[in-house]
Amino acid sequence: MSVSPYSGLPQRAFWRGGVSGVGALDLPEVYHPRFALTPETRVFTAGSCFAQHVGAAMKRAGLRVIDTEPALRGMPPETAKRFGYGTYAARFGNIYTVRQFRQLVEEMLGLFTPALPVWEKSGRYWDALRPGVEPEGLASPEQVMEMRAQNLIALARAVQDAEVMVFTLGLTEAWEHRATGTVYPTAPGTIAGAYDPDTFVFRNHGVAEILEDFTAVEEMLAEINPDLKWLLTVSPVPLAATATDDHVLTATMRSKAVLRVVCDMLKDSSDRIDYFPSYELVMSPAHPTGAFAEDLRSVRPEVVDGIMGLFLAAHGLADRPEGKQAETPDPEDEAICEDVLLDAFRP
Amino acid sequence: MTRRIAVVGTSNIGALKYAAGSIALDHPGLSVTFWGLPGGKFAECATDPGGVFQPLPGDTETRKLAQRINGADHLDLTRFDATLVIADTMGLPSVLFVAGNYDVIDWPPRRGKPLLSEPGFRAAMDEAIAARADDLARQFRGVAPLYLARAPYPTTVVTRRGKLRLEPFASVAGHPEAARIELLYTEALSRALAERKMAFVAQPQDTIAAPFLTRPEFGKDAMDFRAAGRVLDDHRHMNAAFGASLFRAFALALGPDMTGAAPTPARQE
Repeated sequence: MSVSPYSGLPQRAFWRGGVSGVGALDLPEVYHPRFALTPETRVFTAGSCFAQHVGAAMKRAGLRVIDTEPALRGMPPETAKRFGYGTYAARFGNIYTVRQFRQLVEEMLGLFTPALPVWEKSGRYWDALRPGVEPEGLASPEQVMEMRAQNLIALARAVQDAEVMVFTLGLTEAWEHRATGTVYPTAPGTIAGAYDPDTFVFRNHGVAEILEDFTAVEEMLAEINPDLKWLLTVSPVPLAATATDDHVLTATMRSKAVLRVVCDMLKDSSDRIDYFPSYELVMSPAHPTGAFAEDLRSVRPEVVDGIMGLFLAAHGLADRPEGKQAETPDPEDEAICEDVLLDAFRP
Repeated sequence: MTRRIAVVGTSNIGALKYAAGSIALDHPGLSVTFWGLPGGKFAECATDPGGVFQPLPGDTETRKLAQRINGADHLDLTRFDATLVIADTMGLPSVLFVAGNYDVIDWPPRRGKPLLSEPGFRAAMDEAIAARADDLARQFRGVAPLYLARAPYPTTVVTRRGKLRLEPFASVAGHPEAARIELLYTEALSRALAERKMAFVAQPQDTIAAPFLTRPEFGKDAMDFRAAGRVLDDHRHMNAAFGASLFRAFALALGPDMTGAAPTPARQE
């Protein structure tokens, strides 16, 4: 019998038996953690709206998920969620692009001042950098800035406390302030503000820019917290809309491909960076009825649960540690994503 | 024509029950029946399709308790012209905890607490109230007209620590925005109840010492609703003078068509 370099490779190396013929999420070999997460690990979560599922699963598993702006006693759960409490390490909202994360960290360090940080609509004012956390806006621009200052202090505490940053990369497309380069999580005019092509410009970040942004973030945070590790994942949630000339399907694939390449390059560059394949697990063709809900955008809750179960099992955390107060999964739990509002602009 | 009134509720019906004599004098056109159970047991009761308010089917222990306290293990609410429910705290402790834990950014005082927007505060308040209002709407489905009074504020005697500890009411006493919060809460509760076809009967102003706190004399000699003569003095349950005052407020809400006469002036207790 002839010898092939594929001879003797494990089952996971072959599509047949590795993907086809096994359950869509019955893939224990798909992820080998580069470093361990234990119930004592202090985890900082951030990223696009899929990151909300990641953080929630970690909380349910009893990990020490950092929350420096928690909902305090008396705050009912629906209100807490709607106003961005308990979602991420601080109340900074969804971070869709690595550039957005970079400028947030720079702002926290006093190295950056965002342009046009307050957007107005119908006499109310929104924080342009986290418009989703105050769904009804605030009464004045001064209030927005006072709240923002509080958030930056909380962010600094979270960063100092973190051992592992779990960051979900979501988008490459962003709207930028033409004169200063400030990027925003939503397009002007979506939640608040107004779109003026002389003021704002569309950007679709590429691999090199994202790598540069990530490296900048990593270096800044390493100054504060030298032992910090990173766990990256790519959101499988497709774009709600694209501002490129491409079809939204190809724009989505381009965006995710770029982010996926970035993750691989970053993982290869440092032992402190790991990657978990959320994207691949959702996009796998092995899901018998598809991984998405009817809108073909939201990942079905049972798929999210399966993926996060796989992640936790790889860390030996599938079962709740004794004595830890774990949260009960909420079957109605849906991530809050501002970008879905773009759907309202369909023809 | 005598109108029949049902007063049902938690242990807080004691204040009205022991005011039955003065209520009868103040409102001769009303015949009042009282029916109550301790809070947890009361919360399990519901109105059946025939309009009978009663404990859970098969809960013989609670039925026995209801029989012992009220002389009947159920109350047919279809026999009454109006029903007044003396409920629990209707989400107020949650509201007060939020008020105590945050500085609402729209209001001037800064106490060094985390900031919360007023829409956030209102949403928290609405959610806390809605949960209880929904429960009551389920409990009293089909009963009309339905009036609701919340449990009385505790008296000014309650403290943050010790035997009469009652957070968060004690701590809200010094809140610089307590009056505003009380107004917002009262409006929100009234609105939530109206949306569920219930009318809110607010705690009478003459009983209130400060926002969310009752004048201490109304907590003195309050008796256990289950047994006359057993004095509580816990400053969470109120006495007959309070009950008479609350019933006057209820009678005003009923209106002269129901009470048969203009409300009489407050009697000297």
